Amino acid sequence: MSVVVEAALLAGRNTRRFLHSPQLLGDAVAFPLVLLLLMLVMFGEVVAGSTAEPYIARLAPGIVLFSVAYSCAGSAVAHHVDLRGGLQGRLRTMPISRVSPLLGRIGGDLVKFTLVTVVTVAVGHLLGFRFRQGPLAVLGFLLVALLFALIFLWAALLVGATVGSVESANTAITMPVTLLLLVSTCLVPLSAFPDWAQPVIRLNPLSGAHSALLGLSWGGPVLVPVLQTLGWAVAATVVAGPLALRRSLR
Amino acid sequence: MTTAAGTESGLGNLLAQGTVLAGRNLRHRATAEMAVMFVVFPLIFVFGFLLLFGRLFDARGLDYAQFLPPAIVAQWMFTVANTSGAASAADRACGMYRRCLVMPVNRGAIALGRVASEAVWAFVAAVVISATGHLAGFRFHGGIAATVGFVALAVAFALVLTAATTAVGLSSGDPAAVAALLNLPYLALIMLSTAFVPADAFPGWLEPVIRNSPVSVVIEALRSLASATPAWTEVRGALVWVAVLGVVFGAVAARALRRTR
Repeated sequence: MSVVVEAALLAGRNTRRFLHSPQLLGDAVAFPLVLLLLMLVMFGEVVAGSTAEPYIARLAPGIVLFSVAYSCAGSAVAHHVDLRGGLQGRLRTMPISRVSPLLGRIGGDLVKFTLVTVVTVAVGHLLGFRFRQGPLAVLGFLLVALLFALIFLWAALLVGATVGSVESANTAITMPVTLLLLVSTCLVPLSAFPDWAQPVIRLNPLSGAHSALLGLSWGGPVLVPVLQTLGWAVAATVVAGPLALRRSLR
Repeated sequence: MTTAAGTESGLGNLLAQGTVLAGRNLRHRATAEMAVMFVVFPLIFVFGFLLLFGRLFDARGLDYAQFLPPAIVAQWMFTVANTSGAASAADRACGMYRRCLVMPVNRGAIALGRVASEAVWAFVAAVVISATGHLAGFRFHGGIAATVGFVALAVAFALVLTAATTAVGLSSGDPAAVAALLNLPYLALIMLSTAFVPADAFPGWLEPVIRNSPVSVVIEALRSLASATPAWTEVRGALVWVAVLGVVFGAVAARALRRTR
């Protein structure tokens, strides 16, 4: 079998496990929605004065990105459980590529993130979020969200293969991701940050992807932020990918 | 029989065994992860939120560096209580709780051990956040008595929450489910309060809810205690809430402790 077929089979297994677990499904879908509503009432009035677009136009893409990155904690946990629970051992006795289990994990999670993005955007629409750049930009929005997911998925696989317990797999992703959310342009515009911090805020992968999503929905620059996200995704694949593979095989 | 009763009943046994169990609870959670948590949590929430909102609120005339740390203290009290709930569930799941029941151990000591160990975590957390806040510009302006009151109120709040999470933890017995279950009310309660944003920044229809949430009342009392002019009325409101919730959650926790096998 080719790597693609093997990865697709394993991705299907992971997706079915996810769809058949009401708890996982509820966590993945309900969490972004609760966050979206809470943050809209909390921050809407404070931030509204300082931006051209309505707050929901900024917040909805921000919540999409945060939920995607935050759910990668689930990927780290699942990968950890696969490695320690014996699935990985079993797969290694079979004549399949060593990369397939990792690609299967990534493929399955990209399906999950598509669902998260669609549901969050749909609820955002009810609250006033709009695509103003045409149908092609809508597709671009989803693709950028998935490209962004790749950055954290590779990191999650590395974490899952490295840490000693399910709890630490979880916190090793959720803590840094929460910090990254706070120091990004997902919640407030760049101009709200102190001048000395702005270059760092701009570098944050969440800020780059957020600018791209904002450009593809409300309007604004697209090319440079997309290239920045692509750069992060390539870097994560090249650096974390081989490391994650090596650690997973140990 | 008299020897068994001799090791179980009485205030002396309660205190001695409670201390032993509290020590066990503390050692159980004194891991490298906990140490990381003590560094990362204040870093994320004090400096992260300050970066995020400092400029926006300064423009509104609010000193956010003074406003934020009491809220982060309250937030961490929730974390202490939630972690404790998961630990109670784990104790039940791994047999520790049952083992205490079959041994000649004072029942109250199990509760006391939990209360004492959480009080220690809450105290350390309040001190760590206050110190981190100090770096960012947060100050206790109210004198020593008000500062002691600040820490005491924070710890009391953590213990009230811990009573509730202990009841949930013991009734469930599944640490992962308890952690997930407690996360949602925690997020909603802390975000729908004056923790990060003052009440008048919320939509008008929501303001009364925000102002009267017990979480807001406690946080406002903490802020008052750290200010130059601590107001007794605010502190009294928080004490009433802590007392009422303490009685309610305490009763629920006592029931769970009696019923769980």
